[in-house]
Amino acid sequence: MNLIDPVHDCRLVGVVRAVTGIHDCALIIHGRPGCHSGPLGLQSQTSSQRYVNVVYSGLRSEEMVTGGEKRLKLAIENVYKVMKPKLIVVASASAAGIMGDDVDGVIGEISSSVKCRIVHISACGYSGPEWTGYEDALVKIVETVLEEYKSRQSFEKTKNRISIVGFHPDEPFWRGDLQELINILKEILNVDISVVLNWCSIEEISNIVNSDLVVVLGGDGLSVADYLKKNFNIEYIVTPYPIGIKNTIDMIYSISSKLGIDINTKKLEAYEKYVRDIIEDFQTYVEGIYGNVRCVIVGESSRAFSLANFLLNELDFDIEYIGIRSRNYVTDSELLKWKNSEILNDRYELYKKILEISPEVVYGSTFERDIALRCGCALVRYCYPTLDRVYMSDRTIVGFRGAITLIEETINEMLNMQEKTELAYLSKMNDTKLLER
Amino acid sequence: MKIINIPYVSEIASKITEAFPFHNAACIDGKILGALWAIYQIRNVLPIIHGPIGCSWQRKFALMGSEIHYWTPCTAWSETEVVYGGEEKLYKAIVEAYEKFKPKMIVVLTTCASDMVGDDVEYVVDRARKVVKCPIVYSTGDKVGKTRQVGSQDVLYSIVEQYVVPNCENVEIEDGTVNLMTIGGEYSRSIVTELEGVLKAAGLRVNKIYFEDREVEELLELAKVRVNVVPYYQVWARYLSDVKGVRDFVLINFEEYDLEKAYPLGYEAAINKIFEICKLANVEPDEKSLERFYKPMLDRFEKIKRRVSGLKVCIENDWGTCMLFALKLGLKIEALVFWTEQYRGHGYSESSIKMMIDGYVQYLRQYGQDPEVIVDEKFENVIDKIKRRNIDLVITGWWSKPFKYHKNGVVAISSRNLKLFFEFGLTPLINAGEVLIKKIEKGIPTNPVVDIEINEKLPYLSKRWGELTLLFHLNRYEKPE
Repeated sequence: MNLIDPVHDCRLVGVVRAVTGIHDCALIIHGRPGCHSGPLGLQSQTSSQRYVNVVYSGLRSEEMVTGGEKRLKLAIENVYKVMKPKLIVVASASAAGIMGDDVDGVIGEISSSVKCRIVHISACGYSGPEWTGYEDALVKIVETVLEEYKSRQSFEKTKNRISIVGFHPDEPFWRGDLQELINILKEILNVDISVVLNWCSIEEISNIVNSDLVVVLGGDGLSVADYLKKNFNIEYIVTPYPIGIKNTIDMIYSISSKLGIDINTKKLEAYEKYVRDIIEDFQTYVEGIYGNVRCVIVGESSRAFSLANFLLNELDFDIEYIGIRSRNYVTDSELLKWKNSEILNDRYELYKKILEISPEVVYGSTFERDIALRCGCALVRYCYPTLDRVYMSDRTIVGFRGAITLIEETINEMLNMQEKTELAYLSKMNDTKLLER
Repeated sequence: MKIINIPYVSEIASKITEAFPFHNAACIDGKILGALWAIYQIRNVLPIIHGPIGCSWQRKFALMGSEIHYWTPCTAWSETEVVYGGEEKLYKAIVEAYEKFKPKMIVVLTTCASDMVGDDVEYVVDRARKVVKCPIVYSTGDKVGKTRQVGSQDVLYSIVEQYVVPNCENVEIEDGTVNLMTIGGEYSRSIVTELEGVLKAAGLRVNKIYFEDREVEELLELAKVRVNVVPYYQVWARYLSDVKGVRDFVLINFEEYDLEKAYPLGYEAAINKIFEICKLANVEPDEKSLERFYKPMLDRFEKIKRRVSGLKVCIENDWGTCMLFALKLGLKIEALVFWTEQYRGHGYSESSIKMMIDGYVQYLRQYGQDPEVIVDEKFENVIDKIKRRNIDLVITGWWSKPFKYHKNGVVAISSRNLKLFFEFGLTPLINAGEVLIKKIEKGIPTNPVVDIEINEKLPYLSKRWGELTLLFHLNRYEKPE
């Protein structure tokens, strides 16, 4: 194709997402200012601002002729002085890549004066999609942090200690999701958690070697799990992203059977009762949507299929289409299970598809806002990048409580269609001040 | 498929993101974002970004506000184009774009990748113009020098150069007419609210307000009037003046230390500007009508002035608008606080920062003000000095934090709330005056919920944003060995 309106980003944003949430890590984008401002904006508007960590190398237009190696060296020194990170990740963007800057050479040269680990990841826009940047960056970070452990013969693994891979602290509801995930694993499975990638410190990443098991949520970060298996003999499992009750229980049972541990059935029943009680409290609303909604799901592979599973098997929705905007290594096997699913490349095609289906609800991100408006359907924001909502509270869309949030969001966004209908009518009557404000 | 670019940004929604220290603080946008801002102002114009997908996807959202650029098709460069060039791909993409979207105009935007590889975009566009039935414009970012914002300036210049000028040979200039510009981008359209009314009162005909939601054909009318009134210097407007004799008139001059000449705020400044525009448009201003127009506003302004005159204020990290506001309302400027890193971010050297501060002080002295100048002091010292001088109110800088003053028992308001930047006339002073009165009446919140660790070196920012801002400036401006 010669013309694409992309639904996903290039490797660079994958790298940014891999370092988002690592508390004492800094990311230097070695490229032009546009390659820095976009990722900084995305990161700071979707994740914790305490740990925003995207820095510009300062590459100037005049250096596009002479090369930016000296500039990068200076940037690394400055970042070390100002932020005192434990790890610096340098992502080279298109301009540095085309110029052929020797980033590894700069890192080698500076390693004696900058006393923290530095890694380089090629993130040129033309060299691949977002998900490859995420996978490669995560492996490189873990590999670098665990370098010193590699020469050891054995590791003391702690029984029933697990690590989580594939959690993104830049998704909507990320704070609540993190908490809910930890609560469920601790309360129902009584496991210890070494580290949740990537909401952790560098030191916590090194604890990953003590894990008994790595749990890969929805398939994101599978390369890290593979790396840990090969180099540290740590077992891993890929579980569905715990969206909805069935996916959550599947995750719990997968971990329990792999570790050979019992499930705290009392706790599990308590969680299930919690959901049941709420549904009873709002029964007619839930009945209103049950088996009665035609929807489209757009999003990352790791979450979209889990959401589809929940909506289909627990709410009897008609899933008219699943458009995968960013894939991972398990996407192909998931695609086989869903006949109306495909990997998206072009927003134009997605647009045409949704207009043709004319669903009642689109599950997506801020970037689907206009499609939903033009189709006259509700939009439930559940995935990255959601930039027009702020998620400060501990609401979650994972686990048992998450099922309630998703039902609530769906009902409220559908109810909100009345407001949109009124707005459309007022616009038609030319009687709204909205465009003036 | 119909292209619908949404040119409007909600002022209410924008409030939520105004405090992000982006613009020349922790980052600066690339040219593509500015270019998209300009393109999104005009109906049915389709951008084609000639480069990798990241240059397109990342630019779907503006840094401020929840504005989304839904349509940003691109040529999706892979390593093949980096090696062999992307000219053929661009040609096919333009043809495909026209077939798919039937836009009224296509604007090709080059990126670092296509610029560095050296694609001959002009040649490709010329070829495509022969088969595509809509105007095609290309913008490389090279035509406007360093005039900010490069992206939007270059797109507008390219549109005027490649579409307006070649197509306006038969357009007759009408005496007494003007166009007004809000200029696409993050800045408000309120700059033209009072201006439009007062120009009409003076006897001029306002032809159109650009570029907000204009049709492509309407762009030709940029060459139809005597004067194009632009908020700040626009390369395209000067070009049109040079080649077609349509004069450009600039409202805001950032280079000026004489604040009255820099910003068109207040009655006198407004009247002066109107007289100058009338002169350029060959119209004798209707002074009586102007008087009638301003009479109720002046009455309201005087009433506000009486309420606040004599209040002791401290102004922090200002660019001149708050000082001018204070002078016009008869406030007593007791102190000026500067944390100079903010100015360094805009490329100011040590000497130019000093010159700027001295310039402000000298200007204020002409009006009998003698503020204490506090430069890069620790925040605790600033608070001490403010308290010692019994200051009634602090007007903080754009990104600065009123809550940190509140916590120390000092009334403070952010200059963001006063909305004095990119404004014209008396209305912004009246509005800001009313906001100020409300703040004074409200006083200090008893228990402010916000409590963020402040960066020691850059006390106008939080710890992490301060680090990122400092690094942005260091990495950008420090010279490597």
